[in-house]
Amino acid sequence: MRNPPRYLTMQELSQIPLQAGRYTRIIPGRHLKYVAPGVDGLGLSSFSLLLPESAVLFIAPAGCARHVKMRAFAIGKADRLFLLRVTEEELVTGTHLARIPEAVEEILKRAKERPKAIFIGSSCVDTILASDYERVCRDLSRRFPDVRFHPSYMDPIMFDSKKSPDSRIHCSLYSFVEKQPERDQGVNLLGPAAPLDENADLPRLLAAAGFGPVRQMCRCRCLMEADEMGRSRLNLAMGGPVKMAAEQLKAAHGTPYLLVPPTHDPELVHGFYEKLGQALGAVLDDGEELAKARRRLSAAAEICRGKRIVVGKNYFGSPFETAKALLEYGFTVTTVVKNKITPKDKAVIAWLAERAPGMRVYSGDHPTLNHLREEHEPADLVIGSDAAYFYPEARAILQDGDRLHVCYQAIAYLADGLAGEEMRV
Amino acid sequence: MRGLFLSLPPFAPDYSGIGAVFLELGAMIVIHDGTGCIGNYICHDEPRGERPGNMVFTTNLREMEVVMGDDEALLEKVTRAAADLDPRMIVLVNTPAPIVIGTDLRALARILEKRTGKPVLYFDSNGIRMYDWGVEKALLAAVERFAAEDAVACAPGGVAVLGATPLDLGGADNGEALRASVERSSGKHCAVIGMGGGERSLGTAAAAELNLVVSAAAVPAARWCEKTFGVPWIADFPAGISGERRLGECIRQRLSGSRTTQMAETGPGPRALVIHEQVTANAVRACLQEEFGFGQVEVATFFQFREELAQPGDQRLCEELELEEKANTGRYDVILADRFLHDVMRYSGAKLVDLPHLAVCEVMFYPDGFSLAGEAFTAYLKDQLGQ
Repeated sequence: MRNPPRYLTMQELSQIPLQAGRYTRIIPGRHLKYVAPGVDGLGLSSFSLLLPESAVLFIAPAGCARHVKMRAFAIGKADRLFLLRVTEEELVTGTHLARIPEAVEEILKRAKERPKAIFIGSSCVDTILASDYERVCRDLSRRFPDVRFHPSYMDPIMFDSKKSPDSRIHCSLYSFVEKQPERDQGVNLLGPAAPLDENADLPRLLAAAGFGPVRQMCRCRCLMEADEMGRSRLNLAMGGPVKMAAEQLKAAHGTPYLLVPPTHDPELVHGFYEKLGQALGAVLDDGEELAKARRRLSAAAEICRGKRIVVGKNYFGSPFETAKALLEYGFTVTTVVKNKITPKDKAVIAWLAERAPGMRVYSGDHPTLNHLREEHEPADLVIGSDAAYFYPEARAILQDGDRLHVCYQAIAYLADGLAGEEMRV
Repeated sequence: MRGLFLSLPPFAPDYSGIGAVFLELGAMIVIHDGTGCIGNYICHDEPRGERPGNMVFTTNLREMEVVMGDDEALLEKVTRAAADLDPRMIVLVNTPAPIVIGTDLRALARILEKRTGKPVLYFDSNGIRMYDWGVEKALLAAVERFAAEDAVACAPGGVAVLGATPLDLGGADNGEALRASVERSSGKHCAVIGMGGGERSLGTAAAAELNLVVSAAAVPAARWCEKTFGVPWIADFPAGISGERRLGECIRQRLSGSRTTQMAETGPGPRALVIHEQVTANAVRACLQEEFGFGQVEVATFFQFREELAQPGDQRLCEELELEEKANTGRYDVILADRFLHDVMRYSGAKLVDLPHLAVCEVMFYPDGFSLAGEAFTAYLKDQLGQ
């Protein structure tokens, strides 16, 4: 006899004490983790291979490399990702490290395009064994002076630490950017793998104030263009995992950074543009965009009157913040899917508990969620691929994987999606 | 260079094989890892991943648990989940990180049996070996533990299929296609253990007239069933129309007490190389020779290779370089292999035909509707070979 999918109400969630450490799980007590199909990998291939003229040599048990290499096939970059399989004996004796230079030599000889930069990737076992990949990369740099080397990490056991693998993958990527002697009026957008949409408000508002270009690693066509990111006067970091990379660039290049808020709230976006203007010593006139965003959300709310919305975590922004923004404009949010909360979430949870105390909060990784799909809970619209998986009958609004929507454009994209764009899973 | 894969993808690892065997047997499959390994299995190697009620979980192993040797975390998490979901059995699956620190799954399994009152199996997979190791160990442990118990509820007679997993058969529906094919060829009812045969299908391996082994990894389980229950077995697969016909004859022969295997005679036709799991590849060879007039056909595999199932010229491969050397000799007119192996063989001079193998290409790239069984496979080969 199995138990039904477990959840807390928003009221109950607002009352759970926060645990010491980085986060608190929604459902208290240690539990196994359910992984819904379709969950993406860490991004060793997606993010590292954004660096043009680069390759990844992944040293790991063959199984660990499977999704990394298949993801590389899916994005058309498999000819830049190589695997050095290790045996158990090699791991325990550390002799696999001594084989890396020979593997690099083979890659430089036989790769379809000779890379100018190589990520040396390692897995959980090397983290546990404290293998020194920094030293390996220094040795490689001496042996192959015309190639740049940096370590990269795919070690999910480190997710609870400050040096989580998603942070370190970004640090590794941006560590290839060389410091430049002069700066220009450019601004870097760090984090997302997709290029900014051509109608994005961010570059437009910056250009109107005399700033630009907005540089992204995914738009660089060669290593020299990637190095041009070192000219930018400011870094904009999108997403928690990128913050460490932004701090690293500040320490190495002296480039200041701002965090781009992951929000669909027009007022918070306006606040960000004010801060951005202050950081650049200019005024960014976003009045028209702000008014448009407010009107768009109101119009979408009118169309969606009475429709039950579920907000998942696999979508840009915090699902709590998104739920709050939608409720403020009159949408009906019934459920949020989120695995854990941090101290930063406390205020918005308190707000939600006051206005929608009965809103359900599912922990998307609790074992009882393995049969949530069978429950056919009522929902009309879902946001995010995880919510789409759990509510297959609802119309889904999914993250655009090809184009990046940020700031007011992110609000427009969501509002349009809720109001009328059909985006079935 | 040994161990360096420049072109080939890494193949499905051992823990995927274990998951594939137990998914439909009412098991709560607990992968002891940090989340990467379960992602490999459930998102890339398991086409049945979206079946409602799948009980596949990770212990979400983290650094502090590793450093402090906190095995109580695993015990607590599994005990809670067992109370929530009431599985038939619990299967603990090891992965590289806990293996390296010497996690004793055997001891943890014993403690869990006491705490949960459920049967608990464990496997020391390490992510370094491949899926066939996992299928072999899982299937053998499963029949040893449950075949006798489940046999009580099974109708006696018929054919039980051992060793069927999507990693070799492909799509989630291919268990049903295989069942239908075996029933057509043998005239007997058939249960495909672990792929459509039901939660208690392990009992059919004890109750059947004959066990049909469709992958080399299932041979030890079949041998055990023969020794324990007296159920004879053969290794074959109904690939193509001729495969169904041949399988029916082999089953009748075996049930009459004969142990001889039919082998197609090698004639003067085109030469081919087939690369897949060994039993499947043997069946494809027979289909090529009987239906398409091929002459010498050799089989090569990166997975389990049993001498008793091999013919002269067949070979086990370990390295990408070995595949390159084998294929690019100019000896073959046609090479049938998963398309993810084709790049290595681009200088072979042979016609390269895609022979999908999910353990190589994974769920995302496995062609919809492809089946190795019966008429569908003959039609596919006709199209690919231009006949």
